[in-house]
Amino acid sequence: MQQVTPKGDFACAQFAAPPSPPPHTPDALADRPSPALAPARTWVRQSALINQIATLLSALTSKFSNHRVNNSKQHLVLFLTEVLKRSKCSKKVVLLSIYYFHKLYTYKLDSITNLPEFSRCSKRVYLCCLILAHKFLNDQTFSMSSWQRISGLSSKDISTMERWCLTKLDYELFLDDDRLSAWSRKILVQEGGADTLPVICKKRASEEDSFDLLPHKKLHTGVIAI
Amino acid sequence: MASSSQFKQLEKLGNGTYATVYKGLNKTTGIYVALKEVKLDSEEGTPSTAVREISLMKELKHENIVRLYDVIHTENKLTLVFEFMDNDLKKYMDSRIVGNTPYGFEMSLVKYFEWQLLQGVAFCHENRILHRDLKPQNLLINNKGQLKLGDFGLARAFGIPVNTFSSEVVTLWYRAPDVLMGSRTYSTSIDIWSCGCILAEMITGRPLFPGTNDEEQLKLIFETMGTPTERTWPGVSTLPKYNPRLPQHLPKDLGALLQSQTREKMELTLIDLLYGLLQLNPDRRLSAKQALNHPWFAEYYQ
Repeated sequence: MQQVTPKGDFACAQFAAPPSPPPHTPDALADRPSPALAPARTWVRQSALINQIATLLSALTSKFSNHRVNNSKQHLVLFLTEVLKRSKCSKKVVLLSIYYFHKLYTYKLDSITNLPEFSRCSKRVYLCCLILAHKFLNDQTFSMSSWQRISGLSSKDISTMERWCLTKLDYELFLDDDRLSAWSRKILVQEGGADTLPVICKKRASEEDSFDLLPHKKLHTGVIAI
Repeated sequence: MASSSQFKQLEKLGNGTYATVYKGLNKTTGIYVALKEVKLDSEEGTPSTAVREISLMKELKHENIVRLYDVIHTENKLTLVFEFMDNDLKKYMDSRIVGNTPYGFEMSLVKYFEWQLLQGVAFCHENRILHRDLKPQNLLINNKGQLKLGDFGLARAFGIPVNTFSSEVVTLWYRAPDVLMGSRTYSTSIDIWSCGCILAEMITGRPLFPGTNDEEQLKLIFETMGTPTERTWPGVSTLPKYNPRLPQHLPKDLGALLQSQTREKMELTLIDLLYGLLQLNPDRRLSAKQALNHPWFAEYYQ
Protein backbone atom coordinates (compact mmCIF):
# COMPACT_ATOMS: atom_id res chain seq x y z
CA MET A 1 0.00 0.00 0.00
CA GLN A 2 1.22 3.42 -0.85
CA GLN A 3 2.04 5.48 2.20
CA VAL A 4 1.07 9.09 2.36
CA THR A 5 3.44 11.00 4.57
CA PRO A 6 2.86 14.59 5.55
CA LYS A 7 5.34 16.82 3.83
CA GLY A 8 5.39 20.53 3.24
CA ASP A 9 1.94 22.05 3.07
CA PHE A 10 0.40 18.60 3.28
CA ALA A 11 1.58 18.39 6.88
CA CYS A 12 -1.18 17.84 9.33
CA ALA A 13 -0.54 20.83 11.55
CA GLN A 14 -1.59 22.95 8.61
CA PHE A 15 -4.32 20.77 7.20
CA ALA A 16 -4.34 22.82 4.06
CA ALA A 17 -2.16 25.63 2.86
CA PRO A 18 -3.37 29.09 3.84
CA PRO A 19 -5.98 30.08 1.30
CA SER A 20 -5.57 32.89 -1.12
CA PRO A 21 -8.96 34.44 -0.33
CA PRO A 22 -9.23 35.58 3.29
CA PRO A 23 -10.08 32.63 5.49
CA HIS A 24 -13.73 32.21 6.36
CA THR A 25 -14.58 32.36 9.97
CA PRO A 26 -17.80 30.75 11.09
CA ASP A 27 -19.19 34.11 12.14
CA ALA A 28 -18.42 35.83 8.88
CA LEU A 29 -20.24 33.08 7.02
CA ALA A 30 -23.18 33.12 9.35
CA ASP A 31 -23.79 36.75 8.57
CA ARG A 32 -23.92 36.23 4.87
CA PRO A 33 -27.52 35.91 3.68
CA SER A 34 -27.91 32.80 1.59
CA PRO A 35 -31.25 31.07 1.89
CA ALA A 36 -30.07 28.08 -0.13
CA LEU A 37 -27.52 27.24 2.54
CA ALA A 38 -29.92 27.56 5.41
CA PRO A 39 -30.77 23.92 6.14
CA ALA A 40 -27.22 22.65 6.48
CA ARG A 41 -26.05 25.78 8.23
CA THR A 42 -28.82 25.52 10.76
CA TRP A 43 -27.46 22.39 12.24
CA VAL A 44 -23.78 23.00 11.64
CA ARG A 45 -24.24 26.10 13.74
CA GLN A 46 -25.51 23.94 16.55
CA SER A 47 -22.02 24.18 17.88
CA ALA A 48 -22.98 21.90 20.74
CA LEU A 49 -22.93 18.91 18.41
CA ILE A 50 -19.72 20.01 16.69
CA ASN A 51 -18.17 20.39 20.12
CA GLN A 52 -19.20 16.92 21.13
CA ILE A 53 -17.83 15.43 17.95
CA ALA A 54 -14.55 17.33 18.29
CA THR A 55 -14.20 16.11 21.88
CA LEU A 56 -14.75 12.54 20.77
CA LEU A 57 -12.36 12.66 17.82
CA SER A 58 -9.70 14.36 19.87
CA ALA A 59 -10.00 11.87 22.73
CA LEU A 60 -9.63 8.96 20.33
CA THR A 61 -6.52 10.34 18.64
CA SER A 62 -4.69 12.47 21.21
CA LYS A 63 -2.07 9.76 21.69
CA PHE A 64 -1.15 10.12 18.01
CA SER A 65 -0.31 13.82 18.25
CA ASN A 66 3.28 14.83 17.70
CA HIS A 67 5.16 17.97 16.62
CA ARG A 68 3.48 17.85 13.20
CA VAL A 69 0.10 16.39 14.03
CA ASN A 70 -2.25 18.39 16.19
CA ASN A 71 -5.35 16.51 17.29
CA SER A 72 -6.45 19.10 19.80
CA LYS A 73 -10.11 19.85 20.20
CA GLN A 74 -9.84 23.52 19.20
CA HIS A 75 -8.29 22.61 15.85
CA LEU A 76 -10.98 20.04 15.24
CA VAL A 77 -13.85 22.40 16.00
CA LEU A 78 -12.69 24.82 13.30
CA PHE A 79 -12.00 22.02 10.86
CA LEU A 80 -15.35 20.30 11.43
CA THR A 81 -17.30 23.53 11.18
CA GLU A 82 -15.76 24.34 7.81
CA VAL A 83 -15.86 20.88 6.27
CA LEU A 84 -19.42 20.17 7.36
CA LYS A 85 -20.62 23.53 6.20
CA ARG A 86 -18.94 23.24 2.82
CA SER A 87 -20.07 19.68 2.17
CA LYS A 88 -23.58 20.41 3.49
CA CYS A 89 -23.76 16.95 4.91
CA SER A 90 -26.94 15.86 6.64
CA LYS A 91 -26.78 15.08 10.32
CA LYS A 92 -27.24 11.42 9.55
CA VAL A 93 -24.15 11.39 7.33
CA VAL A 94 -22.21 13.07 10.13
CA LEU A 95 -23.38 10.64 12.79
CA LEU A 96 -22.49 7.70 10.55
CA SER A 97 -19.07 9.19 9.82
CA ILE A 98 -18.20 9.52 13.50
CA TYR A 99 -19.41 5.97 13.99
CA TYR A 100 -16.84 4.85 11.38
CA PHE A 101 -14.13 6.98 12.98
CA HIS A 102 -14.87 5.60 16.43
CA LYS A 103 -14.90 2.03 15.14
CA LEU A 104 -11.63 2.53 13.31
CA TYR A 105 -9.68 3.90 16.27
CA THR A 106 -11.36 1.73 18.90
CA TYR A 107 -11.43 -1.68 17.26
CA LYS A 108 -9.64 -1.73 13.95
CA LEU A 109 -6.08 -0.61 14.58
CA ASP A 110 -4.22 -3.57 16.05
CA SER A 111 -1.14 -1.57 16.98
CA ILE A 112 -0.25 2.08 16.98
CA THR A 113 3.13 1.45 15.45
CA ASN A 114 3.46 0.48 11.82
CA LEU A 115 0.75 2.86 10.71
CA PRO A 116 0.95 5.27 7.80
CA GLU A 117 1.76 8.77 8.96
CA PHE A 118 -1.59 10.23 7.85
CA SER A 119 -3.47 7.87 10.14
CA ARG A 120 -2.17 9.91 13.10
CA CYS A 121 -4.11 12.89 11.83
CA SER A 122 -7.71 12.92 13.04
CA LYS A 123 -8.72 15.47 10.41
CA ARG A 124 -7.50 13.45 7.47
CA VAL A 125 -9.03 10.22 8.69
CA TYR A 126 -12.25 11.95 9.67
CA LEU A 127 -12.53 13.45 6.19
CA CYS A 128 -12.30 9.93 4.71
CA CYS A 129 -14.94 8.65 7.13
CA LEU A 130 -17.18 11.51 6.06
CA ILE A 131 -16.63 10.67 2.38
CA LEU A 132 -17.46 7.02 3.03
CA ALA A 133 -20.63 7.88 4.96
CA HIS A 134 -21.62 10.24 2.16
CA LYS A 135 -21.08 7.52 -0.45
CA PHE A 136 -22.93 4.97 1.62
CA LEU A 137 -26.02 7.07 2.27
CA ASN A 138 -26.49 9.32 -0.73
CA ASP A 139 -27.45 8.21 -4.21
CA GLN A 140 -25.66 11.20 -5.64
CA THR A 141 -22.22 11.81 -4.21
CA PHE A 142 -19.44 14.28 -4.78
CA SER A 143 -16.56 13.65 -7.14
CA MET A 144 -13.10 13.52 -5.62
CA SER A 145 -12.32 16.94 -7.03
CA SER A 146 -15.18 18.37 -4.98
CA TRP A 147 -13.71 16.80 -1.85
CA GLN A 148 -10.40 18.24 -2.90
CA ARG A 149 -11.97 21.70 -2.95
CA ILE A 150 -13.76 21.10 0.33
CA SER A 151 -10.63 19.95 2.14
CA GLY A 152 -7.68 21.47 0.28
CA LEU A 153 -6.07 18.02 0.04
CA SER A 154 -5.16 16.44 -3.30
CA SER A 155 -7.53 13.92 -4.90
CA LYS A 156 -4.76 11.36 -5.07
CA ASP A 157 -3.98 11.60 -1.37
CA ILE A 158 -7.64 11.46 -0.42
CA SER A 159 -8.08 8.40 -2.64
CA THR A 160 -5.17 6.63 -0.98
CA MET A 161 -6.41 7.45 2.49
CA GLU A 162 -9.97 6.47 1.63
CA ARG A 163 -8.73 3.07 0.49
CA TRP A 164 -6.77 2.66 3.71
CA CYS A 165 -9.87 3.50 5.79
CA LEU A 166 -12.09 1.11 3.82
CA THR A 167 -9.59 -1.70 4.23
CA LYS A 168 -9.11 -1.03 7.93
CA LEU A 169 -12.86 -0.92 8.44
CA ASP A 170 -13.14 -4.25 6.58
CA TYR A 171 -15.73 -2.50 4.37
CA GLU A 172 -18.19 -2.75 7.26
CA LEU A 173 -20.16 0.41 6.54
CA PHE A 174 -23.67 -0.84 7.06
CA LEU A 175 -25.54 0.25 10.15
CA ASP A 176 -29.30 0.60 10.27
CA ASP A 177 -31.03 3.73 11.54
CA ASP A 178 -32.08 2.31 14.88
CA ARG A 179 -28.62 1.10 15.76
CA LEU A 180 -27.08 4.36 14.56
CA SER A 181 -29.34 6.49 16.71
CA ALA A 182 -28.88 4.22 19.73
CA TRP A 183 -25.11 4.35 19.27
CA SER A 184 -24.96 8.12 18.87
CA ARG A 185 -27.13 8.65 21.94
CA LYS A 186 -24.84 6.46 23.98
CA ILE A 187 -21.50 7.72 22.74
CA LEU A 188 -22.33 11.39 22.67
CA VAL A 189 -23.69 11.25 26.20
CA GLN A 190 -20.51 9.62 27.34
CA GLU A 191 -18.21 11.96 25.54
CA GLY A 192 -20.21 15.14 25.64
CA GLY A 193 -22.11 16.82 28.43
CA ALA A 194 -25.58 15.85 29.52
CA ASP A 195 -26.71 19.43 28.97
CA THR A 196 -26.40 19.21 25.20
CA LEU A 197 -27.88 15.77 24.81
CA PRO A 198 -31.58 16.66 24.58
CA VAL A 199 -30.82 18.78 21.54
CA ILE A 200 -29.58 15.76 19.64
CA CYS A 201 -32.31 13.40 20.72
CA LYS A 202 -35.18 15.72 19.95
CA LYS A 203 -33.81 16.90 16.63
CA ARG A 204 -33.16 13.38 15.44
CA ALA A 205 -36.76 12.41 15.27
CA SER A 206 -38.24 15.62 14.00
CA GLU A 207 -35.65 17.43 11.97
CA GLU A 208 -32.86 15.18 10.95
CA ASP A 209 -34.49 13.83 7.86
CA SER A 210 -35.72 17.17 6.73
CA PHE A 211 -32.17 18.39 6.41
CA ASP A 212 -31.04 18.91 2.91
CA LEU A 213 -29.64 15.51 2.11
CA LEU A 214 -28.84 15.95 -1.53
CA PRO A 215 -25.41 17.23 -2.37
CA HIS A 216 -25.37 20.58 -4.05
CA LYS A 217 -23.29 21.28 -7.07
CA LYS A 218 -22.20 24.65 -5.79
CA LEU A 219 -19.37 24.41 -3.36
CA HIS A 220 -17.27 26.82 -1.45
CA THR A 221 -13.96 26.85 -3.17
CA GLY A 222 -11.67 28.22 -0.49
CA VAL A 223 -9.41 25.90 1.41
CA ILE A 224 -9.55 25.48 5.12
CA ALA A 225 -7.38 27.74 7.18
CA ILE A 226 -6.47 25.89 10.30
CA MET B 1 -7.17 -10.53 2.85
CA ALA B 2 -6.58 -12.47 -0.34
CA SER B 3 -4.08 -11.43 -2.96
CA SER B 4 -4.72 -11.50 -6.68
CA SER B 5 -1.93 -14.05 -7.26
CA GLN B 6 -4.10 -16.56 -5.46
CA PHE B 7 -6.52 -16.63 -8.39
CA LYS B 8 -6.10 -17.71 -11.96
CA GLN B 9 -8.18 -15.56 -14.27
CA LEU B 10 -10.17 -17.57 -16.82
CA GLU B 11 -12.72 -16.57 -19.43
CA LYS B 12 -14.79 -13.38 -19.33
CA LEU B 13 -18.33 -13.93 -18.08
CA GLY B 14 -19.83 -10.54 -18.76
CA ASN B 15 -20.07 -6.89 -17.88
CA GLY B 16 -21.81 -5.70 -14.73
CA THR B 17 -23.10 -2.21 -14.10
CA TYR B 18 -19.64 -0.87 -13.41
CA ALA B 19 -17.26 -3.79 -13.80
CA THR B 20 -16.09 -6.77 -15.83
CA VAL B 21 -16.67 -10.26 -14.50
CA TYR B 22 -14.32 -13.20 -15.13
CA LYS B 23 -14.40 -16.79 -14.11
CA GLY B 24 -11.51 -17.50 -11.80
CA LEU B 25 -9.86 -20.42 -10.10
CA ASN B 26 -8.67 -20.29 -6.53
CA LYS B 27 -5.29 -21.97 -6.92
CA THR B 28 -5.04 -22.99 -3.28
CA THR B 29 -8.46 -24.56 -2.91
CA GLY B 30 -9.22 -25.54 -6.51
CA ILE B 31 -12.62 -23.87 -6.23
CA TYR B 32 -14.08 -21.78 -9.05
CA VAL B 33 -15.03 -18.19 -8.27
CA ALA B 34 -16.37 -15.15 -10.13
CA LEU B 35 -13.95 -12.23 -10.17
CA LYS B 36 -15.62 -8.87 -10.55
CA GLU B 37 -13.02 -6.32 -11.54
CA VAL B 38 -13.44 -2.58 -11.19
CA LYS B 39 -10.76 -0.39 -12.77
CA LEU B 40 -9.80 2.43 -10.44
CA ASP B 41 -8.55 5.88 -11.22
CA SER B 42 -5.95 6.76 -8.59
CA GLU B 43 -7.54 10.21 -8.23
CA GLU B 44 -11.20 9.23 -8.17
CA GLY B 45 -11.34 7.15 -5.02
CA THR B 46 -13.48 4.04 -4.73
CA PRO B 47 -16.74 4.24 -6.73
CA SER B 48 -19.77 4.52 -4.46
CA THR B 49 -21.38 1.59 -6.31
CA ALA B 50 -18.49 -0.62 -5.19
CA VAL B 51 -18.50 0.82 -1.68
CA ARG B 52 -22.21 -0.02 -1.41
CA GLU B 53 -22.02 -3.41 -3.05
CA ILE B 54 -19.20 -4.60 -0.82
CA SER B 55 -20.53 -3.24 2.45
CA LEU B 56 -24.07 -4.47 1.82
CA MET B 57 -23.12 -7.92 0.53
CA LYS B 58 -20.92 -8.48 3.55
CA GLU B 59 -24.10 -8.29 5.62
CA LEU B 60 -26.18 -10.53 3.42
CA LYS B 61 -25.29 -14.13 4.05
CA HIS B 62 -28.14 -16.19 2.69
CA GLU B 63 -28.45 -19.22 0.42
CA ASN B 64 -30.34 -17.17 -2.17
CA ILE B 65 -27.83 -14.34 -2.33
CA VAL B 66 -24.49 -14.73 -4.08
CA ARG B 67 -21.77 -14.89 -1.45
CA LEU B 68 -18.97 -12.34 -1.46
CA TYR B 69 -15.85 -14.22 -0.39
CA ASP B 70 -13.20 -11.58 -0.50
CA VAL B 71 -12.06 -8.19 -1.70
CA ILE B 72 -8.70 -7.34 -3.25
CA HIS B 73 -8.14 -3.61 -3.29
CA THR B 74 -5.09 -2.06 -4.91
CA GLU B 75 -4.42 1.41 -6.20
CA ASN B 76 -5.55 0.62 -9.75
CA LYS B 77 -7.94 -2.26 -9.39
CA LEU B 78 -10.64 -3.47 -7.07
CA THR B 79 -11.54 -7.15 -7.35
CA LEU B 80 -14.57 -8.68 -5.69
CA VAL B 81 -14.34 -12.43 -5.29
CA PHE B 82 -17.77 -14.03 -5.50
CA GLU B 83 -19.20 -17.51 -5.33
CA PHE B 84 -19.23 -18.95 -8.86
CA MET B 85 -22.58 -19.61 -10.51
CA ASP B 86 -23.05 -21.53 -13.76
CA ASN B 87 -25.47 -19.21 -15.50
CA ASP B 88 -27.90 -16.35 -15.17
CA LEU B 89 -31.63 -16.45 -15.69
CA LYS B 90 -31.48 -14.26 -18.80
CA LYS B 91 -29.03 -16.51 -20.63
CA TYR B 92 -30.95 -19.56 -19.50
CA MET B 93 -34.20 -18.15 -20.89
CA ASP B 94 -32.48 -17.17 -24.14
CA SER B 95 -31.16 -20.71 -24.52
CA ARG B 96 -34.76 -21.94 -24.62
CA ILE B 97 -35.75 -19.85 -27.64
CA VAL B 98 -36.47 -22.20 -30.54
CA GLY B 99 -36.34 -20.43 -33.88
CA ASN B 100 -37.96 -17.16 -32.92
CA THR B 101 -40.37 -18.62 -30.41
CA PRO B 102 -39.55 -18.21 -26.74
CA TYR B 103 -40.68 -20.88 -24.33
CA GLY B 104 -41.37 -20.40 -20.66
CA PHE B 105 -40.21 -22.83 -18.01
CA GLU B 106 -42.11 -25.82 -16.71
CA MET B 107 -44.42 -24.58 -13.98
CA SER B 108 -42.57 -26.48 -11.25
CA LEU B 109 -39.35 -24.69 -12.16
CA VAL B 110 -41.10 -21.31 -12.37
CA LYS B 111 -42.38 -21.90 -8.86
CA TYR B 112 -39.04 -23.03 -7.47
CA PHE B 113 -37.18 -20.05 -8.99
CA GLU B 114 -39.79 -17.51 -7.85
CA TRP B 115 -39.76 -19.00 -4.35
CA GLN B 116 -35.99 -18.62 -4.14
CA LEU B 117 -36.12 -15.12 -5.61
CA LEU B 118 -38.64 -14.05 -2.98
CA GLN B 119 -36.60 -15.72 -0.21
CA GLY B 120 -33.56 -13.68 -1.24
CA VAL B 121 -35.58 -10.48 -1.53
CA ALA B 122 -37.28 -11.06 1.83
CA PHE B 123 -33.87 -11.48 3.46
CA CYS B 124 -32.63 -8.20 1.93
CA HIS B 125 -35.74 -6.38 3.11
CA GLU B 126 -35.50 -7.85 6.62
CA ASN B 127 -32.01 -6.42 6.72
CA ARG B 128 -33.29 -3.09 5.48
CA ILE B 129 -31.60 -3.30 2.13
CA LEU B 130 -33.24 -2.62 -1.24
CA HIS B 131 -31.76 -4.32 -4.28
CA ARG B 132 -33.22 -1.88 -6.83
CA ASP B 133 -32.04 -3.74 -9.92
CA LEU B 134 -33.81 -7.07 -9.99
CA LYS B 135 -33.90 -8.53 -13.50
CA PRO B 136 -33.13 -11.92 -15.06
CA GLN B 137 -29.50 -10.93 -15.82
CA ASN B 138 -28.89 -10.34 -12.12
CA LEU B 139 -30.39 -13.63 -10.98
CA LEU B 140 -27.72 -16.28 -11.04
CA ILE B 141 -28.49 -19.95 -11.25
CA ASN B 142 -26.51 -23.17 -11.02
CA ASN B 143 -26.91 -26.72 -12.19
CA LYS B 144 -28.60 -27.68 -8.93
CA GLY B 145 -31.50 -25.37 -9.77
CA GLN B 146 -30.48 -22.86 -7.12
CA LEU B 147 -31.18 -19.20 -7.78
CA LYS B 148 -29.30 -16.36 -6.11
CA LEU B 149 -29.48 -12.59 -6.23
CA GLY B 150 -26.38 -10.90 -7.59
CA ASP B 151 -25.14 -7.46 -8.59
CA PHE B 152 -25.84 -5.16 -5.67
CA GLY B 153 -24.30 -2.16 -7.46
CA LEU B 154 -27.53 -0.19 -7.19
CA ALA B 155 -28.58 -1.50 -3.80
CA ARG B 156 -28.87 0.71 -0.75
CA ALA B 157 -29.84 0.63 2.87
CA PHE B 158 -33.14 2.24 3.72
CA GLY B 159 -34.58 3.92 6.76
CA ILE B 160 -37.60 6.03 7.41
CA PRO B 161 -38.36 8.25 5.59
CA VAL B 162 -36.53 7.80 2.34
CA ASN B 163 -36.80 11.08 0.54
CA THR B 164 -33.37 11.15 -1.05
CA PHE B 165 -33.56 8.25 -3.42
CA SER B 166 -32.80 8.48 -7.06
CA SER B 167 -35.58 7.53 -9.45
CA GLU B 168 -32.97 6.41 -11.99
CA VAL B 169 -32.97 2.87 -10.71
CA VAL B 170 -34.00 -0.54 -11.96
CA THR B 171 -33.71 -1.50 -15.61
CA LEU B 172 -36.71 -0.06 -17.47
CA TRP B 173 -38.67 -3.27 -18.12
CA TYR B 174 -38.71 -4.15 -14.41
CA ARG B 175 -39.26 -0.63 -13.06
CA ALA B 176 -42.36 0.00 -10.96
CA PRO B 177 -44.97 2.52 -12.19
CA ASP B 178 -44.56 4.76 -9.11
CA VAL B 179 -40.81 5.01 -9.79
CA LEU B 180 -41.48 5.68 -13.49
CA MET B 181 -43.70 8.55 -12.43
CA GLY B 182 -40.82 10.04 -10.45
CA SER B 183 -41.54 8.84 -6.92
CA ARG B 184 -38.53 9.12 -4.65
CA THR B 185 -40.22 7.78 -1.57
CA TYR B 186 -40.34 4.19 -2.71
CA SER B 187 -39.34 1.38 -0.46
CA THR B 188 -39.41 -2.42 -0.55
CA SER B 189 -42.32 -2.39 -3.00
CA ILE B 190 -39.88 -1.35 -5.77
CA ASP B 191 -38.30 -4.82 -5.67
CA ILE B 192 -41.66 -6.59 -5.49
CA TRP B 193 -42.83 -5.13 -8.81
CA SER B 194 -39.67 -6.54 -10.43
CA CYS B 195 -40.41 -9.95 -8.87
CA GLY B 196 -43.86 -9.83 -10.53
CA CYS B 197 -42.42 -8.96 -13.95
CA ILE B 198 -39.85 -11.74 -13.64
CA LEU B 199 -42.53 -14.27 -12.63
CA ALA B 200 -44.59 -13.46 -15.74
CA GLU B 201 -41.47 -13.66 -17.91
CA MET B 202 -40.54 -17.10 -16.60
CA ILE B 203 -44.06 -18.33 -17.45
CA THR B 204 -44.10 -17.11 -21.06
CA GLY B 205 -40.42 -16.69 -21.90
CA ARG B 206 -41.18 -13.09 -22.95
CA PRO B 207 -40.64 -9.89 -21.00
CA LEU B 208 -43.99 -8.68 -19.66
CA PHE B 209 -43.55 -4.94 -20.34
CA PRO B 210 -40.70 -4.43 -22.86
CA GLY B 211 -40.80 -0.63 -23.17
CA THR B 212 -38.12 1.39 -24.93
CA ASN B 213 -38.50 4.61 -22.93
CA ASP B 214 -40.22 5.84 -19.75
CA GLU B 215 -43.38 6.92 -21.54
CA GLU B 216 -43.81 3.74 -23.52
CA GLN B 217 -43.03 1.70 -20.41
CA LEU B 218 -45.92 3.33 -18.53
CA LYS B 219 -48.16 2.96 -21.54
CA LEU B 220 -47.49 -0.78 -21.76
CA ILE B 221 -48.10 -1.20 -18.03
CA PHE B 222 -51.38 0.75 -18.09
CA GLU B 223 -52.65 -1.00 -21.22
CA THR B 224 -52.51 -4.29 -19.36
CA MET B 225 -53.06 -3.31 -15.73
CA GLY B 226 -55.44 -0.38 -16.38
CA THR B 227 -54.77 3.33 -16.06
CA PRO B 228 -54.67 4.33 -12.39
CA THR B 229 -57.00 7.01 -11.06
CA GLU B 230 -57.23 8.81 -7.73
CA ARG B 231 -59.94 6.30 -6.83
CA THR B 232 -57.86 3.17 -7.56
CA TRP B 233 -54.59 4.71 -6.33
CA PRO B 234 -55.02 7.63 -3.92
CA GLY B 235 -52.19 10.14 -4.35
CA VAL B 236 -51.22 9.07 -7.87
CA SER B 237 -51.96 12.51 -9.31
CA THR B 238 -49.42 14.12 -6.95
CA LEU B 239 -46.49 12.14 -8.39
CA PRO B 240 -43.95 14.39 -10.17
CA LYS B 241 -44.38 12.89 -13.63
CA TYR B 242 -48.08 12.05 -13.44
CA ASN B 243 -49.79 12.83 -16.75
CA PRO B 244 -53.53 13.59 -16.36
CA ARG B 245 -54.11 13.28 -20.11
CA LEU B 246 -53.15 9.61 -20.28
CA PRO B 247 -55.60 7.45 -22.24
CA GLN B 248 -57.87 5.62 -19.82
CA HIS B 249 -57.42 1.86 -20.19
CA LEU B 250 -59.43 -0.72 -18.32
CA PRO B 251 -57.48 -3.58 -16.75
CA LYS B 252 -57.12 -6.64 -18.96
CA ASP B 253 -57.43 -10.23 -17.80
CA LEU B 254 -53.76 -10.89 -16.98
CA GLY B 255 -54.35 -14.60 -16.48
CA ALA B 256 -55.89 -15.06 -19.93
CA LEU B 257 -53.19 -12.92 -21.48
CA LEU B 258 -50.37 -15.02 -20.06
CA GLN B 259 -52.22 -18.30 -20.56
CA SER B 260 -52.36 -17.55 -24.30
CA GLN B 261 -48.56 -17.49 -24.33
CA THR B 262 -47.86 -20.76 -22.55
CA ARG B 263 -48.88 -24.37 -22.88
CA GLU B 264 -48.57 -24.93 -19.14
CA LYS B 265 -51.81 -24.73 -17.20
CA MET B 266 -51.83 -21.66 -14.97
CA GLU B 267 -53.38 -22.20 -11.56
CA LEU B 268 -55.81 -19.59 -10.22
CA THR B 269 -53.56 -19.08 -7.20
CA LEU B 270 -50.69 -18.16 -9.52
CA ILE B 271 -52.80 -15.50 -11.21
CA ASP B 272 -53.80 -14.19 -7.80
CA LEU B 273 -50.14 -13.97 -6.76
CA LEU B 274 -49.26 -12.10 -9.97
CA TYR B 275 -51.93 -9.52 -9.19
CA GLY B 276 -50.55 -9.20 -5.66
CA LEU B 277 -47.05 -8.48 -6.94
CA LEU B 278 -48.12 -6.26 -9.82
CA GLN B 279 -50.37 -3.83 -7.95
CA LEU B 280 -49.93 -0.37 -9.49
CA ASN B 281 -50.32 1.28 -6.10
CA PRO B 282 -47.09 0.43 -4.22
CA ASP B 283 -48.93 0.41 -0.87
CA ARG B 284 -51.11 -2.43 -2.08
CA ARG B 285 -48.33 -4.64 -3.38
CA LEU B 286 -47.58 -7.74 -1.31
CA SER B 287 -44.45 -7.80 0.81
CA ALA B 288 -41.89 -10.52 0.07
CA LYS B 289 -42.92 -12.29 3.29
CA GLN B 290 -46.60 -12.16 2.34
CA ALA B 291 -45.81 -13.46 -1.14
CA LEU B 292 -43.92 -16.41 0.34
CA ASN B 293 -47.00 -17.24 2.38
CA HIS B 294 -49.21 -17.14 -0.68
CA PRO B 295 -51.28 -20.31 -1.37
CA TRP B 296 -49.47 -20.83 -4.71
CA PHE B 297 -46.41 -21.85 -2.67
CA ALA B 298 -48.43 -24.10 -0.35
CA GLU B 299 -46.56 -27.23 -1.43
CA TYR B 300 -43.32 -25.79 0.00
CA TYR B 301 -44.60 -25.27 3.51
CA GLN B 302 -47.05 -28.11 3.94
